[in-house]
Amino acid sequence: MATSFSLSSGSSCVPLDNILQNRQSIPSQIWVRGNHLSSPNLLINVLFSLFSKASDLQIQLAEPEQLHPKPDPEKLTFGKHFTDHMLSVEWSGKMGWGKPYITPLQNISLHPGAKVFHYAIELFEGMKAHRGIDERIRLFRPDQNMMRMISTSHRSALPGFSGYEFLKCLKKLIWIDQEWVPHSQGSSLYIRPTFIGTDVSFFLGCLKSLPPALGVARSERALLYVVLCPVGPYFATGMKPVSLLADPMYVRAWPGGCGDKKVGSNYGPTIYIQKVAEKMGVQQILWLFGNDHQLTEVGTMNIFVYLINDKGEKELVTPPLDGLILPGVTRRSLLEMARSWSEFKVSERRITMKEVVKACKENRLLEIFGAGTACIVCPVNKIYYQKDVLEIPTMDHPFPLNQRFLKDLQDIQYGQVKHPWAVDIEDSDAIMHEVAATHS
Amino acid sequence: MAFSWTYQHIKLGSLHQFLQVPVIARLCLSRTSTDLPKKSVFISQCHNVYTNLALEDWFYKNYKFENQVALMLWWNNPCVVIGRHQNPWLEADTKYLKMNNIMVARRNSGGGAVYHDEGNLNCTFFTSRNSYNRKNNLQMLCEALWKTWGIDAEVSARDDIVLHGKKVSGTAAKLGRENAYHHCTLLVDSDKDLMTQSLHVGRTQFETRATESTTSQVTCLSDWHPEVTIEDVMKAIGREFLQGTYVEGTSTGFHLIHPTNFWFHGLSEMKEHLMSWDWIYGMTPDFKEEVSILFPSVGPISSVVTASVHVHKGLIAEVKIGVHSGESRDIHQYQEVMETLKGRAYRARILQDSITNILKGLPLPTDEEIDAGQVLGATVEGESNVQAPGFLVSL
Repeated sequence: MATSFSLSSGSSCVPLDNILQNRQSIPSQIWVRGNHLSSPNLLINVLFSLFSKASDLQIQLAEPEQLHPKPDPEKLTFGKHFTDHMLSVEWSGKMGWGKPYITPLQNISLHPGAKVFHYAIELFEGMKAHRGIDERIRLFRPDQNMMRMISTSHRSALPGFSGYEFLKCLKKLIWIDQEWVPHSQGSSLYIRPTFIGTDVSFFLGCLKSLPPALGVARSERALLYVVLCPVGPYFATGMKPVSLLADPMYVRAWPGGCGDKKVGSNYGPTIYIQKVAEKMGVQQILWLFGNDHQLTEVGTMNIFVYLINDKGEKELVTPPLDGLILPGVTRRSLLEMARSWSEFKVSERRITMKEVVKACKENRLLEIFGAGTACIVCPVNKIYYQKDVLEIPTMDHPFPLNQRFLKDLQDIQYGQVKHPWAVDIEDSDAIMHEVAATHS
Repeated sequence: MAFSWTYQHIKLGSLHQFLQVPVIARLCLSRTSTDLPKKSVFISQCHNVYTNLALEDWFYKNYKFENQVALMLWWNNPCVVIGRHQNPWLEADTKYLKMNNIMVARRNSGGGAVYHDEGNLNCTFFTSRNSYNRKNNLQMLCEALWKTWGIDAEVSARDDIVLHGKKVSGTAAKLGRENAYHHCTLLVDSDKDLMTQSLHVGRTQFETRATESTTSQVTCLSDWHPEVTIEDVMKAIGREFLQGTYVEGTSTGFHLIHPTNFWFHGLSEMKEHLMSWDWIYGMTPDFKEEVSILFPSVGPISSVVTASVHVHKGLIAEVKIGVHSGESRDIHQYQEVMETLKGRAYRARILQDSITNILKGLPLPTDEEIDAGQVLGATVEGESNVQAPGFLVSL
């Protein structure tokens, strides 16, 4: 089987005729991985993850009294202001995917026993839309976020869906709320797709004693939705490097866990630790792992270290995707860009504090910076490690690598440079990558 | 007949408890967004006339309207807006405006002067040059008023909206090479007393080529339908624009607009320009004012002093003084003093007040003194061009 379509754990137990009884009529055309589906083998799997088409989209526009006044930039705290509309799609085990709706932004009403409240069955994505100098609005590599989201759904025992159709609906949502994307460069619209398990059950196991049709403990109901937030420039008053607290007693992710998935439960527990850092006067946490104190991530971003290595070569290092690291889209983009330049060695390998400290003391450590959607790059100038304070000359070079990355990515995002990574929300879908219902 | 909007909940079968969705207007997307032009209604969050005029200009200069149309709805705190080629001193009682904190603005489109306040709605229809259709816009407005309140307004031959024989709306437009806009006012619930006192038409006469406003009898919608508010009118017009048949396109609904430099890069500069003296006053077409003043004298014959001023770009370029009386006066001396007015910004009553001071042997009044009306003398209140007894002598 080329692909496995997720319905949640134990999906293989559900007989086909059971699904067909409950299923609505199959659309005549199903696109999977860019190929017109003809194989009957794949049909079964696709049935589980049939997503409603963007052409089924139901739109209810906000009335004037439901509109939210647009805030001043000084008051634009990240994730505090939302646009006028939202996208939502319901799923149930019985009925499959419902129609996608674009409605005025509103609260969600759930049973207090809903799984999301108890077991954190929640995952999300983070991406941005930018308005270019030509007034067109572009998304940055949205196909990557779609694939990642489907992969996270699989890990969360939530159903898969068509990233292609979902993205079409998302583009429509942004098109409607396009006046929330400022007409200036430096600001953007932050897009937060979220997927939650809304069925009610405290039972988590699989009831093996029951007949297969009933013995599946999976999310029976789920809600996939998107909200949007206008954001100002991350560094409103100019790029200011941050200080990090590197303490191995704080562990973000571990082998066999889900540190490589974008689930809310990875972030909630870090709030307390962030507060501990702030009390010490430090701005972010440098997440270490293992007895050798490997650097994994910084705050909610991937980490990059630019140094002159033991062999005297300039090397850009970032930890590998070994299960502890979130596969960031910015991370991937920086790696691909750096490799395309062929100016220095680019490595995805483990890096330890020992190596960093040694390089720093020998003046071979050039830059350390975080990479993420919110800021693209976040330079680091200080690390508090054990009893030491490492001073890192990240911004002390005439042309820092992190600033070069920033400029090149922003040129793409704001349409100054034409690039397939920047997808116009109004472009025909032919150029979009067709994304399979699940991806692992 | 008036519409009534009904609510119905979308039933999502057994799932509807998760999403209570009142449906007011359901729109099914059967065509993609790129087939039909996009149509949007923008409601300005701001009520400063300079900001809103700058925003109007920003849309006109920066948006591409070949595949979209937009309707901007806005109202301003009390102000007088004159047309591009008008004379603010001719159109408005500038002293009254200053004393009452009523601003003066010059817009980019032609036409006459209007008084704006919280009861006067401005509608700006943005289209491509080819799609410009003023009559259609005005008819759409009338349709919205009729549908919602049964208000029977009509579009006149002069593109005014008329209700019971009186004007409720005035229109102006700007047509560029690619873009165009048609804007109009709609008197919903304006303060007619303030309006009459602020607008000055006919009270002063200058020799000028500037566009002069014509007076009309006006009425407000609230005179006939007291329940109508400006918010309701905005919604009614917006709905007709988005959901009616007058304008083709796919609706993106209503949008609140915050006209600041953050949301619209370059807006601050445009606003600065519209607030500048050079624009508001300096763009006034050249004009000439003549003033005659009766001056009581010691002897049995009174003096009449005449003066004329030629104003270029809002500044005094030339000034002449003449006297007719039974007594001789030292004209040359007066002329010398009056010459010092050259280069000063024109203001209402500058001639009268300057002459009064000269004849009293006082120095010329300052701008502050003129604005505050502190110059007292034997002048005839408010009138210039008074016919003098006998004949006039001027140098």
